[in-house]
Amino acid sequence: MPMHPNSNKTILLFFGKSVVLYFLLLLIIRMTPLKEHFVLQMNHLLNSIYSDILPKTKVFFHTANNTKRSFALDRAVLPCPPLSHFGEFDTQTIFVNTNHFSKQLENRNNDPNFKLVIQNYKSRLSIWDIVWMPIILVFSLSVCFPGSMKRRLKLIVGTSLTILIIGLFRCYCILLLELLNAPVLEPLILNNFFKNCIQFIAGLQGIEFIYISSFVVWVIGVLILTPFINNRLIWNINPPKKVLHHA
Amino acid sequence: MGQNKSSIALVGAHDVFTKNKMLVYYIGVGLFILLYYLFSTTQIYTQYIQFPVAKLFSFISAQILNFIGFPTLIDDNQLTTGVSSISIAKGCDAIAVMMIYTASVVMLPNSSFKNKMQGVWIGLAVLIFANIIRILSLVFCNIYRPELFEFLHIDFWQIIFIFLGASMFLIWLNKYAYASK
Repeated sequence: MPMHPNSNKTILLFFGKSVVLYFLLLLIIRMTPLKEHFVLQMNHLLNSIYSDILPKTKVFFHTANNTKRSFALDRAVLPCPPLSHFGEFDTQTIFVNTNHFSKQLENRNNDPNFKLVIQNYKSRLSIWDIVWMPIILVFSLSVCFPGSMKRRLKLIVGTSLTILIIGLFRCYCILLLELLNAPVLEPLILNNFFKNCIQFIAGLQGIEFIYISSFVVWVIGVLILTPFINNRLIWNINPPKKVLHHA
Repeated sequence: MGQNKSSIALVGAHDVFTKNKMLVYYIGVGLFILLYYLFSTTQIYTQYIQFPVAKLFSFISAQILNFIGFPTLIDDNQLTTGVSSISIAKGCDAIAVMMIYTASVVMLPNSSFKNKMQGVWIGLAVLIFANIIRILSLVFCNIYRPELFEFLHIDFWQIIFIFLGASMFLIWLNKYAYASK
């Protein structure tokens, strides 16, 4: 029989505290410019990883309401106006067909009057939903989880890093899917199995799935950090008392 | 004597899984979640599970709204109350939470069939009731405080639903899963 939380009160208190902390953190983030800052930092990271990873395509992640948006192509720096009314999305991804761009540059070199046309494709993303909101969720759960400070810290670091890696992987699949569907970009040649995999992973962007997967990551973290002793899951702070066998 | 490495590994794995029923349980629930999400991308799921469930929720919600004096029209999974119109889309139907909760209860080892059935029925009833409350609250929010709709829809109810499912499962595990007659 598995060992479990010792009372209903413990369970309700744990989830109650986690909900309160989660909403408190959300409130603080919404009242301050922290959200934009977090999204901007994530976009810097995404740009450093994914900018040149796609074949014959350059990708730019821009925080939608950033007033200093621009992207550099070869020696040209192209400004983009800030976007308002971006809905639930916080990031604009701009894909530039570099193959087409280099051909245009060649034509420009041959004919100075040649008008440069950049073939690009734009799409939208919510980095906040993919990465930051799940991290706040696992942070709240980990802080309120009964146990030692060391275990809580391990939980926070482990689950946050896992969510970050999953988020980066999701973003990569979204980029590949955009590349598969965008007509102006260089076609990506993949077999049907990989196409289906990409479509499946990129399709799992619903807010419900993001929350559930984050919760599952957190549960896995708890299970990894919790010792199994004779089929028992230890939730309690104190280790189980040794059973004394009398002769 | 003469046992090769692969058969030793298989015996080892068999030992781990037969001794660690809980480990098998966790892997089983994990696999179920993965398979559920794979299935949820299919047309069969949309046509025969998601759409009828959404339609049922919109029908029940519309009946309640009509009963309490808010004339409501339904068009498949869309609810229209005056100027407010919301549709119950995938992810707002609580199917995933209900499925994961049911799988977690049903797969638990060493619990009697009767205890499991009790857990499933009570849990599903609470989740269905909570989902109707969620839909009604979103309708009213859309009428009276539309600026709070996104917060209520995304930040509030999603987290409440996951915590509700998880806490109900733990309470069942704590008090009822191994309860005798």
